[in-house]
Amino acid sequence: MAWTAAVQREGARSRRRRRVRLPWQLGFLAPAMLFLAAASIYPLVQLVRMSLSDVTPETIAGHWPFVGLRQLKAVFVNDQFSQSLTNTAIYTLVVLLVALVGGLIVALGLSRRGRLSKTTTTVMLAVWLAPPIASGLMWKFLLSSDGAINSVLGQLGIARRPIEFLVTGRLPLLSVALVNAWIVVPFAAIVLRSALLDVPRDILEQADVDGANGRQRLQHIVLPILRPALLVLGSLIVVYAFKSFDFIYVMTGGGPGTSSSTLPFLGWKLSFVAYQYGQGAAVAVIAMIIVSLFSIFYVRSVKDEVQA
Amino acid sequence: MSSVSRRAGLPARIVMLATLAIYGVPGLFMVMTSLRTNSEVYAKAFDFHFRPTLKAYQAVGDYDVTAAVWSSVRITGLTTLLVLALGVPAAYALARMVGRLRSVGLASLILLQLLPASTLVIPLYQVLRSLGLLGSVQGVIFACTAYYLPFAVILLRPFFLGVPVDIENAALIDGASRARIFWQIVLPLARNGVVTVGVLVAMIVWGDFLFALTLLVNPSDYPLSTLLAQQVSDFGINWPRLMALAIVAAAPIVALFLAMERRLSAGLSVGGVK
Repeated sequence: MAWTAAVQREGARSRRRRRVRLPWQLGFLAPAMLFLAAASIYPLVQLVRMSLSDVTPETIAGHWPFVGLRQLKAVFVNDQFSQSLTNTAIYTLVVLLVALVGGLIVALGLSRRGRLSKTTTTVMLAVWLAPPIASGLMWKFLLSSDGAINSVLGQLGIARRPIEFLVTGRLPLLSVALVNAWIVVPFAAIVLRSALLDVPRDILEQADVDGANGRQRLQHIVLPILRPALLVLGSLIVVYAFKSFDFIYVMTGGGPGTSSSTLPFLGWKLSFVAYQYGQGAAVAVIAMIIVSLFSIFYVRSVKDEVQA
Repeated sequence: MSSVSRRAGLPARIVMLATLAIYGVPGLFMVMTSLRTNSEVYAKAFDFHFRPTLKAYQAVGDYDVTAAVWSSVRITGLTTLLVLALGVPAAYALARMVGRLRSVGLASLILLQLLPASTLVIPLYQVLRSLGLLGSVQGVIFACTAYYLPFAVILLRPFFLGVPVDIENAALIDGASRARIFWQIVLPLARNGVVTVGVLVAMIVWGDFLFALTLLVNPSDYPLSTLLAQQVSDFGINWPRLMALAIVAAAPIVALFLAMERRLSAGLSVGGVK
């Protein structure tokens, strides 16, 4: 009978309505949500507004003249922007490859228990957690024209003239990227070492019996099992490299010119060194869009790994 | 412990020694340089033959180190407290939610966490200016809390997922309020995680110089990390003094790590990647 079903449905609905009240979780969530709305979301809306307005030191305190997409268009034809965009790609790629390969090698090396393994892990993690400004300065000293590495190369007679790691050409960008990779390898190694524990021992032993060599075991057994972990780790590293500020600021200041600036760094430099807030905001908005696109990929890879 | 290179003793040993060298030697070198004089370093940057001197550490006193340390302590301490005060309840709530609100919440936290600090600081500069907080340590604390809160919530949540719901349900039946359950049951069980994440946030904020560099006006308010970052632009760097200052800034973090290594690495593998 149709009407009894309808009555039952109505009854269920009103019962549900009666029960509908704010979930208790909201009370716990609200302080953080309100704070982030004020301290993070609202500023990001302002950032977008800024990128559409002509904001200079004269106008920042008052009314921002709206200029539409003019600033974003100006940014796109700016040489500094296109160079920083290329730099960002190179920088991120170098950090990603070196950190993943280095991390995997270290993780494989550290998978034995023992005192040496423990000491190495401790030293590596201490370096990873030390303030980036301290390790950045250290590398600035090691790599400077009259610094330690050039001194060693000179004394060994390998380089007659000092190598300008941080001063001219493409080298500064690569040097900073390598230092950044150096600081990420410990993290990658720790993550991959715990992922390696998932590789079933009996399969490896069986492969051994079947005569597989180390490379074959790595390629056909270990890497496929590590795939999900590598995916999540890889996306974390990409984001980390993209966000990089400390090492660039300390070691090269993004220079010479913009030859070692990445996109987020350029946005900051335009805003707080050149005081072109509008231009800086436009670059930052583009960086934000790239991050948002990337976060979709990231969320998906995390979800896959959790399900796997 | 299963391992791929279980039989490959020698290669593993070589990898470990190489790693130890790659991460240990630069640090030793830094310490060595801090024990030399500036003229020695300029004459020959790499040299084992020198008489160690603490001059560079005495010269660190030329900077207003006491004020910088105090500023670092205030920024680090208050930011960590605020991040935990806001983040711990939020992480617990997100661990006990299902459905769309949770997904939206988590996704927005991830997105905020992925944003570069150098991007967020641009509008924060303007927001703090309009609040009259530009140039104040409170402004830096506000900015740091905004930036590190999403990171902390994401790291904290797995620790609350590990607290069994059954205990909470039993307490509910006994008539305990949600607030009381949280304080007296959940929080003590998740204490390790809260401490781990708190220490981690403190370590990161201690080293952060971007927010203070951008949002403070008066260099005498700078925390240690920013004081250090500011020296870079100096022409003709005094390397021993700078290395000494860097070691002074890094020492508390490294010491804290060594004291808590086991707890931190255990905590990181829970919070870790997920």
